[in-house]
Amino acid sequence: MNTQFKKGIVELCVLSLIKKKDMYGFEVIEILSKAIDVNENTVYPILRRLTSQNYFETYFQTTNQGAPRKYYRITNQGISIYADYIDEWYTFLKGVNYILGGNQNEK
Amino acid sequence: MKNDYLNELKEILENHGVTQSDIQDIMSDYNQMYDDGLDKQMSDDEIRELLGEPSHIYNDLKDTLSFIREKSKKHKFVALSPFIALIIFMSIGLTTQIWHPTWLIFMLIPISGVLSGKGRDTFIGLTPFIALISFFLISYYIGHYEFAWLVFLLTPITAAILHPKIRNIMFLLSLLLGIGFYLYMGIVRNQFQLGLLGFILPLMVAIINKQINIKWSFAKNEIMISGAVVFWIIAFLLMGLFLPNAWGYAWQVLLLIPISAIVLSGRFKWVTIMPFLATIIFFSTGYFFGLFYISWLAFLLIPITGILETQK
Repeated sequence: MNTQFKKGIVELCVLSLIKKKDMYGFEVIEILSKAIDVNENTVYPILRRLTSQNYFETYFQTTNQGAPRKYYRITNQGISIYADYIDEWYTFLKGVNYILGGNQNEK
Repeated sequence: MKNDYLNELKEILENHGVTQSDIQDIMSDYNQMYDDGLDKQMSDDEIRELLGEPSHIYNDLKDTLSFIREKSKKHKFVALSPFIALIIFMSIGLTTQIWHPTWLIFMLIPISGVLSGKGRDTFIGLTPFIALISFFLISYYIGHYEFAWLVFLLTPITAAILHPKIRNIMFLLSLLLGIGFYLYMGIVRNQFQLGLLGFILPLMVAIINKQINIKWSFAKNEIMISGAVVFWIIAFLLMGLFLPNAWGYAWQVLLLIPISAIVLSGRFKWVTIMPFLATIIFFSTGYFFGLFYISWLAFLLIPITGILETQK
């Protein structure tokens, strides 16, 4: 699968995960790598970019081990971009299903 | 292992002139993620696989980083190096008519790029060019390609010396034994081909030490890249061994390894493969048709492609 295309999908998945609940970096990487064939290098850079674009904010929370851990939380701006991406994604899927299903020949 | 991983990542970020605040931020995140992996009883190899190779991480992080501006002087030198090389090449070529091996001065271009980095890996980065230049000088003036190619082993030897860990020293010793065997078989027994078997030892050591990683599940492009590396090395050896006087030009086949890797990794840009293509065009037209006095124009393809691709 095209790398850029895949990165876009992973970005959508990252937004979706953090929208459901605040998470720390390793947690996101672990969940994603179990669910999809994700290029391991891409997840942290996506978290970092989405944070620099103000779609996420971070805060520290102490753990049982003692060291504070960085958590990612979605912002209002992030929720809004997520809604846009989801719209784009389903429109895209609809188009792909239309092509794959061969419905265009039935017109 | 954790420290090795983090130090490797830090060195790469520093070499690229990333600001200290960004480096500290990233190092603290990777430190935390590594600890999270250890807490989950994962092995160092598993964590490394999950977090990614430090050498690849930089590329994906690039657009989120800020850089130190002090590198601009070095960048000017890198930008000027094609013109400096061209002037030197033309001056020596026109006055002495020795176009080959004067063309090696064009190695100044990639060398200036490597020198703009920092740290001990800069020296390792220089070794392929030192090896290439030595290879040509030895084979041109002494005429022994069957020995001259050994200088390409300078890169792994330097890397092993500059990163003195037990597994690297083991690899270094096995490599030196391999070289010894090759030279013994070649010089004493006059059987260079058989001598190549000596290099099975360092190969095995590298596999056992996991310096060469054998995985049983590969991504599709990893299989293709590994296949391409093996294919071009075999092609190089077959050409050298079976075609008459082929060692002098067969080395160009090895330049197809980085080209294949770039194309198959999905990071293709003309500007990244053009230095290799330009070298092949330059050398082939010069070597086979005696056109070294004009074939240097091939190197102008590098800045031209750079400008065209940047405009896009």
